[in-house]
Formats: sequence, structure tokens, C-alpha cells
Amino acid sequence: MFGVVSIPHFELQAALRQQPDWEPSPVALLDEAPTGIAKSRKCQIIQANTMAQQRGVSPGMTAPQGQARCGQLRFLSPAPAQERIAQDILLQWNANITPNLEATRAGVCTVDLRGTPYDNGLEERWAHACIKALEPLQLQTNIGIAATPDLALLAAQVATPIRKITSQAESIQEFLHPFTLSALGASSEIISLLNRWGIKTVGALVKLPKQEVVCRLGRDCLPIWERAQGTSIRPLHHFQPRSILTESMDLETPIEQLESLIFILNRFLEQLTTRLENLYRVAATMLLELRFDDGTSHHQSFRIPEPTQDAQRLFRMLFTHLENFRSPSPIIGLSISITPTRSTHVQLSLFDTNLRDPNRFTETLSRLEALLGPNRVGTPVPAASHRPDSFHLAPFSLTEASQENPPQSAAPTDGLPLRRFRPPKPAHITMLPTAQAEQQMKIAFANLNSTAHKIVGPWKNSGHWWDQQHWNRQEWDIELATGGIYRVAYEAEQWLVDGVYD
Amino acid sequence: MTASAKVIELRKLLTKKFPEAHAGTSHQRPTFLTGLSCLDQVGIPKGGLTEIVSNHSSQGSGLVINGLLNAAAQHGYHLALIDGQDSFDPQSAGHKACQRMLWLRCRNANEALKAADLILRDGNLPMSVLDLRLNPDHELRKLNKQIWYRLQTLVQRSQSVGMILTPRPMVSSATVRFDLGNAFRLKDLESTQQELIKQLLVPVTRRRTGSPLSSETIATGIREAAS
Repeated sequence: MFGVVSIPHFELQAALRQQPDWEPSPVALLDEAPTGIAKSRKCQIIQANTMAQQRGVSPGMTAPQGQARCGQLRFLSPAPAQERIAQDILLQWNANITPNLEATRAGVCTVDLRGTPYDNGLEERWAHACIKALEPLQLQTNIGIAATPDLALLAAQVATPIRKITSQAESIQEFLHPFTLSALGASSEIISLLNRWGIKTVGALVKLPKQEVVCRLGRDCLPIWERAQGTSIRPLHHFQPRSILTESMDLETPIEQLESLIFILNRFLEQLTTRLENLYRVAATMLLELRFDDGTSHHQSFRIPEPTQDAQRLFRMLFTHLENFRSPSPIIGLSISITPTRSTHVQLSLFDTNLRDPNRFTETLSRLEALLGPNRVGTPVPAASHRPDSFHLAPFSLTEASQENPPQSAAPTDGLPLRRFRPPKPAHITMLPTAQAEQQMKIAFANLNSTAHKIVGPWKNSGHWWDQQHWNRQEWDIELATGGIYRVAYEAEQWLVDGVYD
Repeated sequence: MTASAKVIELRKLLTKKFPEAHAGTSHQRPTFLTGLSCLDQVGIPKGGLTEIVSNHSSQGSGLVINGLLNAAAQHGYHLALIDGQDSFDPQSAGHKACQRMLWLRCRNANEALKAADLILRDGNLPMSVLDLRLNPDHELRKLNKQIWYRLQTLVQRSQSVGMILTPRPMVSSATVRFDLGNAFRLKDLESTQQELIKQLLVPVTRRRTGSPLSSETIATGIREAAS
């Protein structure tokens, strides 16, 4: 059996997802965004919800005509971004049932239920599950179930909300007979020709013999006749929906305060976690995008250490980041994308230890980044350079395997470790003339003034001679008479104290 | 008999005579094996602050940090280094030692204590090292003494290990205080870090584990401090 999920008034329902509070009131979708009174008069209603239709509003009316019939009528303009999201929701849920599905058209999805757990009389269970899953996401659906994709599509068009056509020939014919020929997807020329012959319904077409129809109307008419029989199974155009879950919104009024943003983010996360729950997945990464009035945008990616479906946990991560975020101009649009993954339980090795609460730890890391600033929290990875103090900070990871491979030039770990002064402290150094072979130097830096009685060096070091970042330095290790071992360097005609060995 | 030996003798007598009065203090705190034998011999208490004082330069405070990092990498636990003066050198530690480290590069002592508060409050990492060794004295003097009790409470709650490296004794709530007793020389730069770690002298100058220090431990500590 095949199932077709259809979202009636698809564009209107998609646009309504931005305004969940409007749902119980009469709403109509205009063909374009009304930008002024004069223009709004020309706007036509292309779709109206049931409440609006009950009050006499119908597609084709202008906006003032609609409002004349229903004073409380609210208008929406088409939202292509929301339509894409609604289509994704529809396809992603069904792709979780079977990969054999087709994006028939906007708001319509055909599913091959053969070989799925919902085959052999359990199709209605699938239909109920689909309605139940999409309802919290503000999508009302009609579902048709039949032996062929085309028949299921016709069933979905008249479903309230589920219509199943059994495989028996009598019931198929009984269902098909009242439909007009346009329901079969026939061209207007053939329809008008058949109408002139007095054939106006599918039932009348079915009574004609196949050979006679092909002889008189050509081979192009054969698929229409077969469709009218309700027995031909056309191959589905397989479709692979996007794996990333996204919720997005373009704001009519720019947002300047965090409180307003929080309200929208909360709603987004509730929707996204509901979708994750429907797909039996958890969030592995989350991407926040904020679009600003001045044309710029801000992207922040969040890696979730312990993938979760918990909206509150995800929200805390966003909130911690946004708490200290400042933007130069107001926000006019935002979106959250979640990469779903399977919920897996990682078996650590015998001596590995895991974090008690990885999600809380991620939140703490965000707080630390906010406190210390960028490039101050992480795990150091040596850079592929011999330049002293060259490294970069990688994000803290719980698994060693995910860390970058160290460059082969990683320095050995002999001797006392150096504690660096960042930046190196400028020093006054004077080489003292001595009778002995050993050198001595007088050193003054910060509030220290002493004599180095043991000196090792110089070690000459240079690099990047081939570009603008070339560097060249000489280093000495010195032991002061007052105690303490330091590293001093001469670079760019300046004496520097790199740090203390400790 | 030295004064310390007399005190130990008196404690022993009192414990023997009034065992019920010392019953509450006789239990040992659980300890954390750092992998550094010089520290593990004494025992680093879980749920307590450990202070390592390094009065002078080149006494090996950086060596202790590197030793802890190597032990963390070897034993498979994570460690936070709250670097009060952004002085840690990853090249000296080596990449392998840094793999299980969360490095927090602070600009001053105040920032380091805020970061320590967040990390200890989180309680996820089994060990946090707060390095204030190179912070200027004027920064450390401004610190509110209450902060150490707050950190102690946080460590106690999470049963993690809080280690603080300071230039002078200042952590009033420290459960154990070590005093680095080495004075490394220029020739020591030619030795490997493993050899230098074995040479570390870390006598105990304070211990509040509940049970009194054994006479041997105190005597060793005093002897090493004197040397």
C-alpha cells in the first residue's frame, strides 16, 4: 500500500507557524506582502483557513473584500523559508519510516509503505502516528492510503483526516467515479475533447475500452486511462530529505533586547526537540545564526558533549552565550540548525573516566569563555613552527582521539619547564668583562636587578626567512647570583626575558 | 627531644587516654592518587584544598604542574589548569601531557579566582590546579580571604581535588600545605623532567586531614625543610 500525506493550505499553514497565537482566528494568505494601504487593496487572497472560509472569505477576493466579510480577518504574506521548513518536517518524519518516499509537490509526500512495519493492514496506525507527530509542529495533515500512489493522492484530497481505499476493484471504482477528469492530471485539451464527447467524470472514462481510447486519443492518453482504473503503480521519484533540522524566522520588527530573543529561541528549541523526538534522534551540534539590520550576521556553533533532546539544556547553552553577546545593530532574523545523531552509549576504556554532567560542563566552558575572552580556554596544540611560544588552542575535548595530531617538531620535555612572561619582559643587560673564561652579565628587568654568574648560550634560532614574518633571535639560559634560572633573548635589537625556569 | 616531637608525644598520650574524644577525627579522608610519588606518599585529600608554596624562583612549581599533567594523561583523567598569570608553556610540557588539560589563561589573580570558582562549582573535573605562583604580590594581597573558604566548600561538595600553587602561605582553608624545598641550578636543565621530579622535595608544613600527622611524616618534613 501507498500513503500520501498532504498539508491542506500548505503555504498558509507554513506562514502560520511564525504566528502560533493566531491559530484560532480567521487568517488569510495574500499573494504578496502588503506594504501600504494602496498596495494592500490590490493584494489577492490566495488561501484562507477554515474559520475564514466559514465567514465567507474565499480565495480570489481582494484583501478589503475579505475584511468586509470578516472584520477579525488577519493577513499573512507568503514565507518561502517557512515553507521549506514545513516541507522538511513532512519529509524527515516519513524518511524515518522508509527511504522509499517522494516529494510529490509542496506540502505533499508519497510514501511506499510496502515492507515497512505499517504494511499489511497497519497503514492507519502509520497515518495516526503521522498526524500525532506533526500536530505539535503546527501542521494539520490529511492522509490518503491506497494500493497505488495516484489513488492515495486522490484519497488524501478528500480525506478528513484519513481516507483508506481498499484494494478491491469495486471499492476503487466506487471511489474514483465521482472525480472529474482533471483529478487524473489530464491536459486541458484532452479534458475539453472528452467533455465534448460527454465524458466528464472518471467513472465515464473507465467504461471506455482501452484499445478504443488509445486508437482515438493516442498513446499519451494511455496513462490517464490506466490511472482511471486505479491499478497502475507508477515508480516514485525518490527523494532524500536534508538531515539537518532548522527553524528560522525573519522578523518584521527588529529585536534589540535579549528578552524578546529568548522567547523566540525557546519556541524554536521546543519545535526542534519535538522533531528530534519524532525522529528518535538527539542533537549532536547546534548552530545559531543571527542576522542584523546592517546586513552582517553572527554564527555560533555549539558542540553538545552528551547529545540530548532536552530543550532546557540546549537553551542554557544558547543563553550562556547570548548573555554576554553585544551586537552593533538590531536583529532582523535568526535561525537555529541542529545536526541530529543517534543516541549512543559510549563504552569507555577501562581506565578512562567520563564527566559527571557533560552538558553542565559545556555550559561552564561557555561561561569561562565569556569571562576570559576568546582564545583563552582550551587545550594547547603545538604549531608546526620552531618559533618559541607558538601554539594554538583547540576546543577542549573529552576524547584524545578527536584531538589534532601534534606536529613532528614538538619540543622535547627535558629540563625544568619554562614559565613564560607573556609578553616577554624587556631587560637591560650588560656583559661584564671577567678575567675568567666564563662570562657574566648584569641584568635588570621589572624590579629585579642582579648578576648572572652562570650563563649557557647563545642558541641561535630563526625562521620564516622567506616571508614578512621572519624572526631571528639568540637565547641564553642564565642563573642569577640571587637565585633563579631565566631565559633571556636578543631579538630585534632588544633584550628580552622570556621566562623563568621553575 | 625537640618541640615538635614533644607535641607528637603529647598527642599520642591524649589519644590513648581519651580515645572517644578523638573518635570523630580518626577517620582518614579519601585521597587522590596524582601519580607523583612525592605527593602521593602524603596523600592529596579528595574534597579538600592542597596548597603548594614556592617562595623562590626555580623551586620546581612548574615541574609539579608538568608532573600532574603527565599523570593525568597516563591515568586517563582530565585536569583544569587555571593559569593565574598566563605563564604555562605548552612546549615545555609536551603535547601528550597537554592532551587531557583544560587550560584557562587568566590575566590576573582576580580573574583566576573567578575561573576557579566556576570550574569547582561545576565539579566535573576530578582535579583543578590554580597557579598563582607568578602573580604579583599586590594582586594577591587584595584577594578576599573568604574566597579560600568558598573554594574549600565547592571542592568538598564535588569531592574533587583543588590544588593551589602560591608564592607564600595564604590559603587559610588548605587541608594540606606543602613547601617546595628545592633550589634547582643551571646544570639541572640538562636532566630529564622525570629525573627532576624524582628529586622534588615537598615537605608537609600543614595537615588537617582529621587524623594527626604521624611522627615520621612531621620529622621528615622538618628535616627536609631544614635541608
